[in-house]
Amino acid sequence: MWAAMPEIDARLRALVLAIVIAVHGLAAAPIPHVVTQNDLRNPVSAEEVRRWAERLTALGLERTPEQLGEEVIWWTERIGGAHRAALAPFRSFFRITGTNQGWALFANPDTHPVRLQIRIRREGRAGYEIAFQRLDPEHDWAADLLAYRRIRGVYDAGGFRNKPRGNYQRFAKWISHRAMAADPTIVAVEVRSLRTHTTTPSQEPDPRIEVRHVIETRREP
Amino acid sequence: MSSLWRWWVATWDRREAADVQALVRIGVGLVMLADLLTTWRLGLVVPLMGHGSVGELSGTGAEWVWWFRWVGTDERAAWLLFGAMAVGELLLTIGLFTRTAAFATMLLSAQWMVILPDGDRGIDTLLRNVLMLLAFSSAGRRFSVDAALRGEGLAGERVPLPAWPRYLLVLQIVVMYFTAGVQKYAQQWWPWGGWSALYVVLKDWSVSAWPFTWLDQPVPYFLTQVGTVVTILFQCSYPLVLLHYFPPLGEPGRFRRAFERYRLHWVWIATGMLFHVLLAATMELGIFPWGMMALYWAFLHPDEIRSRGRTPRTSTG
Repeated sequence: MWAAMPEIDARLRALVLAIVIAVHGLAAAPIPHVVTQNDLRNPVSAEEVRRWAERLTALGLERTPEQLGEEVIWWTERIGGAHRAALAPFRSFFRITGTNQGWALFANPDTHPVRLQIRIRREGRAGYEIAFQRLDPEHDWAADLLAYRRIRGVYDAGGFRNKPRGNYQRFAKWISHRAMAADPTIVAVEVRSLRTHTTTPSQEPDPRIEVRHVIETRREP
Repeated sequence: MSSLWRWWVATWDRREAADVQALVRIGVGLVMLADLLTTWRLGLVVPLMGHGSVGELSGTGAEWVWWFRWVGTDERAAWLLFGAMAVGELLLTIGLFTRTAAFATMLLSAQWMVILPDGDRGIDTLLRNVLMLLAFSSAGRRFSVDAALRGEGLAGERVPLPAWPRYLLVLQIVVMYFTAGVQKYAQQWWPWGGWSALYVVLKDWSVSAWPFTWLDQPVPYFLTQVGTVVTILFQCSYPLVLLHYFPPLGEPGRFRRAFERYRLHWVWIATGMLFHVLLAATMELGIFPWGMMALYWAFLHPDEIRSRGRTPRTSTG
């Protein structure tokens, strides 16, 4: 009996690993997430849908961007929904252990990236001055801290939304309090997102900068 | 028992010295510890690990975080989480109570994820997957205090132990690259989008390490296009390395024989290393490139390390 144990161990291990690989394989399956109307309002997605509609039309599969957008929503609701339902029994495990799969790394490069800018107003001054602007060596207050990946993740999401997300609002208040605590002459801090448009060398340059998600915090008396 | 099942059982029943598992353990421990110390150096322990009432950044209710329920929601709780993670990562690195340290560090890191989900990146999920693996591995049997406590010296004894954690890690890396490749559906990654993806990514204010204003020039732009092509080819074809690590059933044909003879899996390993070095030089992705490179040990058989890169005695990776 004991001589047979290693064989049983090997089979049991192989079975357990088959289950683990099946579950993680399902989680890793390159299935698109559920796309909503709100997602399609993102200029990056809108541009992508427009280009795909042009491409499909050129191949004889005639579609307007609006039709293609509706189809994307319809299909991703069903496929993404089924994927979510299949993984539902394992969700608690993934949440508690923090393990998961899903590696859409730079799947959709941002053609409308946002540049963080922090402006400060000093006591007795009327206007704002720039304290920080991402990738601007002239204005690099707290640049190390703001480049740290965990902090970037908090402010660098949802730049396309009409209203700033709760995380962005909390970040704006936090960094403002930090600036005012570091320098007693600062009476107000303004956090803003400057949305730019990246064009390739073969495209017409688009120098427009859209100021979004402006949050001002004043020093409390 | 079918031949496929026999192949599956034998595949996961391979044995080898635990050198590589130990090197992955040390690499992951050091990378996580460096990241945690960065949090401390930048004065971000309470903002990133604390409840919203003290750290201001977290919007997660205390009822969702067992750390807050058990330890509290004051600043002390944030510092205790930091301290517990630092101890876990240190123990993992030196290999003391290795399995417990890996498992506890994974759970603590998961709590950090719940506290501030937007601060948790893909590399954190990947490293937690690896910690789960290490918790079931023999990574503490070599180059560890655990080995010394077993009376084997710090280096530990070089005895054959289950190799499945290393092969599962290889599979995890392959899955990550491959699914990242096939999910690159944006047109900039493809010829009809002008292969412009890397150019666009390097112009992203948030992730780029430099302004890269000179990328608009013809030669640099062409190089970004080449980089885009290489990235897509490299990621989408990555499963080919599995031919080396999981040789399929049956006699090898000409392709497989050539793949083994010329050790072509090294093309993907070398490309991957170069890819991560370039990422580290051009983008601000934190520990991502270093965390990935810490896992690259898994591509080496322990005998390859001993023979400094020459073909190992085994032909199965």
